[in-house]
Amino acid sequence: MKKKFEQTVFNIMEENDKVVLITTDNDFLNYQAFLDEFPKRCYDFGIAECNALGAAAGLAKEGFSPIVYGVGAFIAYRAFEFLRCNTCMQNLGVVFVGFGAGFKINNFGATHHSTEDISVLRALPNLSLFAPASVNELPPVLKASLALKTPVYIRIGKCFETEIYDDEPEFIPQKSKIYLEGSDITLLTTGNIIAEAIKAANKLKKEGINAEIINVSSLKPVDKKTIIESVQKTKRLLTIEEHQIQGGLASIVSDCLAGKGCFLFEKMGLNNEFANEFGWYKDIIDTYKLNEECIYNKVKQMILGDKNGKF
Amino acid sequence: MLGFCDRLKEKYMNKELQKIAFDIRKKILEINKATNEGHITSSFSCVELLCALYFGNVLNIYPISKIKNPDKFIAKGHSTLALYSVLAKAGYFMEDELFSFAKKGTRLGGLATSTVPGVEAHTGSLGHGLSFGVGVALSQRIKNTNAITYVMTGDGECQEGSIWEAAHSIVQFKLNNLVWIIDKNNLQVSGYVDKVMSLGNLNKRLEAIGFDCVEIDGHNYSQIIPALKIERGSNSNKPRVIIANTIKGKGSKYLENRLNYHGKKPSKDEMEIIINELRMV
Repeated sequence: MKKKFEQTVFNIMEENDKVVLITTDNDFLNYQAFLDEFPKRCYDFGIAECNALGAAAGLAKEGFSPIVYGVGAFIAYRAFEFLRCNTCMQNLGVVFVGFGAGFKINNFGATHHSTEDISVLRALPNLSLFAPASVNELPPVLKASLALKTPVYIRIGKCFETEIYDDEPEFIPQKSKIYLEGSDITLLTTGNIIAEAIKAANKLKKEGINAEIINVSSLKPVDKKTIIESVQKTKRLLTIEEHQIQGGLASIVSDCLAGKGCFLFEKMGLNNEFANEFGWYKDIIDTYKLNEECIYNKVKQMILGDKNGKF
Repeated sequence: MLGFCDRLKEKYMNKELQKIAFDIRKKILEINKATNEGHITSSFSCVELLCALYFGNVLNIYPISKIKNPDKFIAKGHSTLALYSVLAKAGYFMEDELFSFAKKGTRLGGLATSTVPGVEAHTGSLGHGLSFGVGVALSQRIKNTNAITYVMTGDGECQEGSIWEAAHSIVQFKLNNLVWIIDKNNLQVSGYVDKVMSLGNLNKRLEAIGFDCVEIDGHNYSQIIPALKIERGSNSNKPRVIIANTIKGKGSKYLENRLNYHGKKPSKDEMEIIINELRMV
């Protein structure tokens, strides 16, 4: 995802001379190419996220379109007040790209996990919140974000994401894409964890359980219509996120569905705990029960329990 | 060296500026008396600095909103009584509006907000303005203009870590089109800056980072104006920072260096004393 980000931004900067790249001491594969091509439009602010965000607001105020890039945890938490007072309060067109969504910076530990970013950022007025599901969805998300000219936070992974789209899909803010149609249960996911949901759904299909998968890449504003229609059809829903269920996708979906009917609703994600365990990405999602098998078991449990009247 | 005519001109202008500053302080007290809101002492300390910027032929901003590539000024967030009075006098909005200060429905809030004409940023939360200024100065560089960005902060504000993040970047990016003014009045809400959380030797710290650090009497136009006027389009590697030594509450003896008076509302009796003591600085 990081590699694709670099390529996409380079192309965007070639086309649009208002775009300014602001980094925070990140390991770009080829930052020199940016310096050579756009010497006046890329600035590394070092390990100083607050200042980077404040300066980005100043650039936006003067008519530029800054893209601020950094570790999601540090943009969302450390520099939160700079995002709030400078960019959101003044409704300035800055695009923040925070990498390491969920556990993608796996073996660094909980300090580097973006597992509360959705919760804190969705509270900010004027800020849009997007999370591409896989590498191919990043370019359309980035382009749509710049076109908005209002504050946007894009939550991206890091590397080795499972690709779920053959080509670049269309991305429209406040529009969720139904990845897989089904009638027995709705699986709502955000980010690359959708890959685990797809594997689980394929396994379930063999047993005659048809899951509908919705890619919630536009977390704010959220596509209420698609979510409500799907859940009213399946009557069962499961949210899956590399994030706290408190304030994250589960809460966003709860807000959409309140007063819309009676559904069987389960949530998978961190339940008010930090992911303190280390390991590879796969190890972490195993530890925190977000892998294909756990999703499969959860769905089976929900459907069987529902049929036996346990819920 | 200034010639005889220039010195005479300077003397005449400084006299004029002193008169304007007196009127601004008077206006600040009138607004505070009418609305019972605002930070009088934080405003009084920077009146000369603001008057020099707006009326001392420093900021290239006139005619307002018509000039191409104007200079930018990012204000100290808690000095709004002074800032708004100066902005009204400069022509950004009508002076009558000042009496709506901090009232229901006004756009002139207690702390600086960018919805007010002439205000660039929300600087109420301390330690933000300098970073915002870095972005504005970078924009001016990308646009290839010779405009200058002026940023004023307090000295207590320099306790915020983000100020030092911004300071490093000003030098790192060689922003010689940015002038940082520190209104060093030595006081903050709970007491003397040195006693609360000392900044150490500010001058030496700033020089060590790589600034061209100029220390001046922040109430003396003969020192303020030359410090503010930097060469446009200069090649200097050392951005300018001005440590303006000021007195919180300057202009009325009762208020000067008075402890526990940040944002305080004077009583009726106190207000009488303050007004009667108001004098030309």
